[in-house]
Amino acid sequence: MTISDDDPNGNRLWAGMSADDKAALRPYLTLRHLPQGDVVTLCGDEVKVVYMPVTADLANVIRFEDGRSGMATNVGREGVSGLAAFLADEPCGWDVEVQIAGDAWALPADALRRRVLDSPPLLRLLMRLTHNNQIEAAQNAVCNAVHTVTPRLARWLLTIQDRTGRESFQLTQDDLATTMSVRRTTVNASWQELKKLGGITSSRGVVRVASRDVLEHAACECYGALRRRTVSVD
Amino acid sequence: MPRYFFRLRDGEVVRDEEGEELADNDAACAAAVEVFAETIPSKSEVLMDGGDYEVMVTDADAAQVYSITAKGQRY
Repeated sequence: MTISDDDPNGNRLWAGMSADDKAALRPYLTLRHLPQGDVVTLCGDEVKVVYMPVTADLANVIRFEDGRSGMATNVGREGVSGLAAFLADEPCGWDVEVQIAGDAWALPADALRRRVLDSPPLLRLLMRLTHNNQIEAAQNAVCNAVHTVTPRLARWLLTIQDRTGRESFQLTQDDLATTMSVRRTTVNASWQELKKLGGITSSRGVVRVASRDVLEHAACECYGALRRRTVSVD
Repeated sequence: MPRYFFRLRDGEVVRDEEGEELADNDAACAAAVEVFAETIPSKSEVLMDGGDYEVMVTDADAAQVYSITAKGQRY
């Protein structure tokens, strides 16, 4: 992990905090580069550090006994990892795994907790964010059960772009298969479909969003529904 | 582990250039059934028009290992 002193405002939760909250928390922040595949919080562990991504994307992963796993929700620059467990002061309910490598601001949970106790506006901000997360988890659960893979893949690629602020990202079909809880061959079929439509291009594990319009047209209604239903925190 | 290749056909063919390493032919068959189950919900148009949809697996020598097909039939 590398550390630098860039501006934390790239994370929208941070950008939405008051000047007083920022002044109180800034001394505790460190910028970290999170490599893909790293698990930053294990299921069942106390949340000791929360991460506010800027260009990274963190997946909340549920693992089954037979070795299979899938992403329930994800956290990018709009939010913070481990939020529900942090607010409840309970162990994390899933693994928080780096899905897209990139930068995130790390903040010791103790420092955030102390500040939350002194700052009703900060608590309100975090409550709004956890409300958004709950809406997203509910939408994802029903989407995964009802919608076919190509619209889900289109939605997921748009979401990654929104949450990392990048046009292209390192992401293989194997990664997507794990994320979407389907076989890689199934991802490949949808991938080819989106490529043929002109929505994406790919080369050596790097996916580039070539046309958001095409992806938005191909995506299920859940993409637009979440944008409408969730409230902005910045 | 041997590498297997999947081909999906619904009128058009989607080939899998990369393939997948799996333990044996049984694992390849099981994977094909999973792919079939995951992809068939998007094939209703083809199947309702009386078409068919097939997932086929071949081994590294391009020999057929397994195939599973759905066929729509209107009466």
